[in-house]
Amino acid sequence: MALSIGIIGAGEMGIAIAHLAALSKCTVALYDINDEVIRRALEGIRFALKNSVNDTTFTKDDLQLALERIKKRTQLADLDTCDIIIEAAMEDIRVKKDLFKKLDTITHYTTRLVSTTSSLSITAIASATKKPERVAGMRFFRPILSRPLIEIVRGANTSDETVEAIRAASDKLGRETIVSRDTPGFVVNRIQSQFFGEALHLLEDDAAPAATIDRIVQLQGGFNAGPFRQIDEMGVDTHFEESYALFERMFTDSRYRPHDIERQMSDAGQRGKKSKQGFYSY
Amino acid sequence: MKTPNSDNQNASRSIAVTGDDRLIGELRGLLQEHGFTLVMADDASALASAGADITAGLELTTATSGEKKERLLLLDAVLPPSIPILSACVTVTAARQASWMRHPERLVGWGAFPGLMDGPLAETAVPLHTRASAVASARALLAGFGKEMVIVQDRVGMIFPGIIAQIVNEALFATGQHVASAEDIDKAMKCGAGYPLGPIEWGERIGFADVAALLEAMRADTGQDRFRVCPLLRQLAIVGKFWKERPVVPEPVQEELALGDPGTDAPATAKKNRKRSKKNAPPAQPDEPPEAAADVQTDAPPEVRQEDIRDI
Repeated sequence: MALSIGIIGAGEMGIAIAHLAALSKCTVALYDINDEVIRRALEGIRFALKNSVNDTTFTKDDLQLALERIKKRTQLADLDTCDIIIEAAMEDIRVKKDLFKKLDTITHYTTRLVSTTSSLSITAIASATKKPERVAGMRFFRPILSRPLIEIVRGANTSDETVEAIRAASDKLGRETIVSRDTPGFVVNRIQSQFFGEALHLLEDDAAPAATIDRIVQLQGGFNAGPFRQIDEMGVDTHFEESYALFERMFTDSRYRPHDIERQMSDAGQRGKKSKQGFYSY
Repeated sequence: MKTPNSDNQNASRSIAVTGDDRLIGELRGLLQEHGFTLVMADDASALASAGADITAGLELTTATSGEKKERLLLLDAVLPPSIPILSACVTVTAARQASWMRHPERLVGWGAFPGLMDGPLAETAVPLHTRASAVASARALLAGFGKEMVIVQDRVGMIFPGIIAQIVNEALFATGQHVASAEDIDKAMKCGAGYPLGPIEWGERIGFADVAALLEAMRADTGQDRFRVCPLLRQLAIVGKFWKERPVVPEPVQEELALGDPGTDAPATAKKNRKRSKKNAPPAQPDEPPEAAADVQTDAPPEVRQEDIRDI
């Protein structure tokens, strides 16, 4: 029997996870409050999957089977038969706690409830449930289809069984896993905060232009892309918000200070690639 | 110390060198590959033999101590004023070094740092009094062994060494705080963020003592607390061990963890048993040998079977 995954939120993250799960032969229940949003999400997945069709590794029959694995859901209660429910809603603790509180009442206690949050506390989200031991974090990384990692976040009350169940599910999705404690930024965002933060300090101090810093990091360090190119990709405003959230959760430790240059760019509409202007022009 | 090369076609490409053995060792192959001859500046007879063949001086001491100053002053004294000198300036700014010299106009700072010498670029810093011809000579010299000169601000840490030191430090903060294992942290950054090496692997490659020294220098230079060295890095720097030798990270006894005590799906009796075993447990041995501690730390997950997936 295939692993059954419920996904809450048909935004960019939810769509990519549904896509990945369907390719990994899992059954997917894709939930969003808005029927039109789900319809467009499914169209997007169909389009992306169609582009993957070839004669050998992913045939037209495989495409059909993958699409059939994704079911549209507009009622949370319809997720009650899922083995694992992945919440990919907006980064708002109230929204997430409300969702988990509802999930706690409609799902069997053996269903694992996970959040894809990148900046909120899993322990805080789990506190909305009566069985916090079945709640954990499951962080995917963009681009989700090609980044081979899932960061499993263990909340203060997450059980070993839940961690292992998520590890098994991640394995099913073809992803490597690491386990992190529920601390601000977990592992990747916390360490990335220094990568981006130091580069932004250098730029603020006029140590070198952004393109020069990127070039040095790329060529001297062997990184795929420099920090400013990466921020442009993820969105200057998004990165600023994430940095600010981390800074606050770290009790304003100066190591994690966000940078005014990003706030100003966001205010000016220079939000990176998506607005065609960030540290670079597109 | 003059090698056979110095009498052939490469005779005019001799470089007088002082500095740390490790950094010189990392550069020696590259320089020789490009036809340069290294002459140790503290070898008076070799220096005399090379004579007019010497076209540049290289000072490759990374420490901030008096040794750096002594070696730079030696080069400044033995080389004619027209010869440019490139000096490692990651931990001491080029401006500071120039202030020590009799002929500061020939100094160009170079971001030479252990473990970071492979790339095709050379971060450089040009102090205020450096003459244009010295910069041009430095550019030509670096190009001569395949490095493109990139001029950046003259600051402790420069660009890449400072960034990577902060990454290593943060990873060791996280390791010491049991956010994740060192192995998982390296894996996370390689698989999740596309790093070519994990942060701990970077630290291992550079050397933890050098990373700590750089952070201390950055903190001293800027007065900023964000460069504070984490306790685990401080220990690794003192012990001088690379990560492969597995320093023992203190691990609290599982039952005593306040935050890390996982909830469990196990029945209540199991919890009672745990409490009972805690009561009867012998006192912890703080000075267990590393091998024994490594066994305790092993947290390999139990093998997951397909039926477990179905049962969740």
